[in-house]
Amino acid sequence: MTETELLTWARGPGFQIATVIFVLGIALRIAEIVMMGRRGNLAEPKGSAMSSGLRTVFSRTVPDASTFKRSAFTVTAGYIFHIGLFVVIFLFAPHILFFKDLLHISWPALPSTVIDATSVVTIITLIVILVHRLKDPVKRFLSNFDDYLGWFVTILPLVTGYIAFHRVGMSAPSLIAIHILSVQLLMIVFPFTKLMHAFTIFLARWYNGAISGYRGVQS
Amino acid sequence: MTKDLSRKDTTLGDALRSKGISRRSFLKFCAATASMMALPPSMIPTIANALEKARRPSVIWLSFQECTGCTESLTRAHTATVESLIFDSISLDYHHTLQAAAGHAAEAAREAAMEENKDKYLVVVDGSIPMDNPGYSTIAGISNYDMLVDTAKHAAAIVTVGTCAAFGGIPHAKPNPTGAVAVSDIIKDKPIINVSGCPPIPVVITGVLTHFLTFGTIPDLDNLGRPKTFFGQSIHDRCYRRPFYDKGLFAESFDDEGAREGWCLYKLGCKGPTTYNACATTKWNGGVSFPIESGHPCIGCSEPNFWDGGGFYKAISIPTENLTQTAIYSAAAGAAVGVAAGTLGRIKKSAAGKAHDKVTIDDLEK
Amino acid sequence: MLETGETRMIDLRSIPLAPGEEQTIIDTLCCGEVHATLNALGPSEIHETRFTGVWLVTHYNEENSVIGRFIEITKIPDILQSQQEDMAIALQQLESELDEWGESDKTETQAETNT
Repeated sequence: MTETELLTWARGPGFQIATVIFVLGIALRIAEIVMMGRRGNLAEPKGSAMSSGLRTVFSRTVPDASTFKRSAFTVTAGYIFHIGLFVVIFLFAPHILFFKDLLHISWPALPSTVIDATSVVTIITLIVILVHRLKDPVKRFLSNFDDYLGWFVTILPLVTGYIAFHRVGMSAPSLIAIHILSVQLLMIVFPFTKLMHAFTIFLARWYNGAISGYRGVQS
Repeated sequence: MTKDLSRKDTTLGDALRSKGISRRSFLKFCAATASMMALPPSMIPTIANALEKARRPSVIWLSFQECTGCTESLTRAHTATVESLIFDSISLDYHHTLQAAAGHAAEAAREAAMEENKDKYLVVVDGSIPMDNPGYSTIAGISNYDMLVDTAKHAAAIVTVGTCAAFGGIPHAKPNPTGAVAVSDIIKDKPIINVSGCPPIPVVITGVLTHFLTFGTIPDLDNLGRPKTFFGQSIHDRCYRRPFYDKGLFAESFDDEGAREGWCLYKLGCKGPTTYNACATTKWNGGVSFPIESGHPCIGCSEPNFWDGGGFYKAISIPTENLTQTAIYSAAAGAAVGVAAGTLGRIKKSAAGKAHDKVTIDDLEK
Repeated sequence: MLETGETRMIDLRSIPLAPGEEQTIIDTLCCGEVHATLNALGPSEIHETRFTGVWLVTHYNEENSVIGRFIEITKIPDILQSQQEDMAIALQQLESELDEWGESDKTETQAETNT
């Protein structure tokens, strides 16, 4: 298979397969979670579950002081990495074209040099996060295959994207094909791993807020 | 004391002098040639020396399933002097479109040239070769396949001109009704130089011939068999609009504000990033312009399968199929299965509750 | 070059220039004391720029398309100098033409003598 054929496959059937697994998997899991329902509470509600739930989705974005003191590194590095990832994925012009084709809406891009710098920061942060995970005895003890796999499929598109942008090593069609394939790997792995947190945190935050709100306590 | 120039052992130097071309003109010609071949000016004396002594190689040009655009590109050469001189300096012993002879006489001439210059002649091929049925493309009743295999047997090297001969080109595009293949799919035992492009830039074609004349060897080739001198850089890497790409300034549609400002054509489907050719530096029509400079995105014509590359006006980062539809169907299917699975779960849960089943560690581990 | 006498040649077409940049370079370098036109396989323009020792050589083909553009750092571009081979051929030509005149002179003188 020539490089161009590989790239055309990645852009065609590759995306179809990955999208099916990604979207179907996520929809399935979320539907299942929602369907499982919650244990009924026979007590009188002392406050609004829904409003507390919705509020908590946003309020948990800022960690409380004691959490931050305990895990300053994790919180900070986590934020840097997630924001960096968001910027690189959603504010890079070629990616925005992809989303425009998918969602039929578009938004302005950041200059590519900014994206380039951001991707470097994000990659370095991810590496530092992994090193921390390996060195901290508790975290290392708790880490399993799912954790390392999630880390790997997240850093791979960043690294392959950086290489494709700077065009080093192989010739361009191969580099872009490998980048697209690494994204598709992420998509395929996503619904089966803890990467689902991207959607489930909102359910979890809502739920925490809801049960607190029902009881009339602060969440 | 003029030499008999019909003799194959006259040199290029003799041939030029006989045309009344002075040494000064010859030096000008070598400077232009060096520039065209992207060699440093310090190599001009070497080129002058080599061309002075070069013998006129025999060239047999085979035209198969082609549109004749490659021959047109070369013969409509706009830097007429350099290319016509080079063309004059080779002995084009066979070209069924250009030559006056036809039919059996022409084929006899080809066979005579092959015999006389055994193992030393160059074969130039444009057009792909149909493999489904040899009858799809024949010359004087001889199928393309047979003619290629026969002519290549004692060739020194083969130069494929155009994407059709190099990679299959347009006949090879889906659904490839004639079973078209490239020269390299058939000939495996001779050096092949792929000069791809639809058509290739004329100076690239003559550059390869000149290299052969000057150095007697095949130029350095990339992993697709193309001379690195001309195909070593992608259009994107040498494009003068690159600063706009880096700054994120793109034309959104043809002839809009951005297009008029000369901004990057990535969003219009430009395949510059994945295409290797000399268009951005050498340009076309004697250096006048190239597609991007004229406002049209690169279509990637020097790459294999560019016709099937997902559409000329679809940017590289956009999937070739309709992903939105796939996503919607997948979401619906996933939700349906999820609801079903959840419902089943609830049924199981309430049944277990009614039967007062004990919760075990296994249930918690799930 | 001032110190070692070493000359250099730069091929302007080997650098990817945006439209307009080449003209800017040419305009910046214009114009020195020497301007020569060469008629060999089409015209060539040879200018010494306003920086002595820096020459701009532009080769055109017979259709006036640019086929080469060079900046030469030298005392005088090689192509302006008369070439050895051309001088040898010219000498032969001159000798043979002089011989012809000599012949025709002799014939005329003879004819005059005869009348």
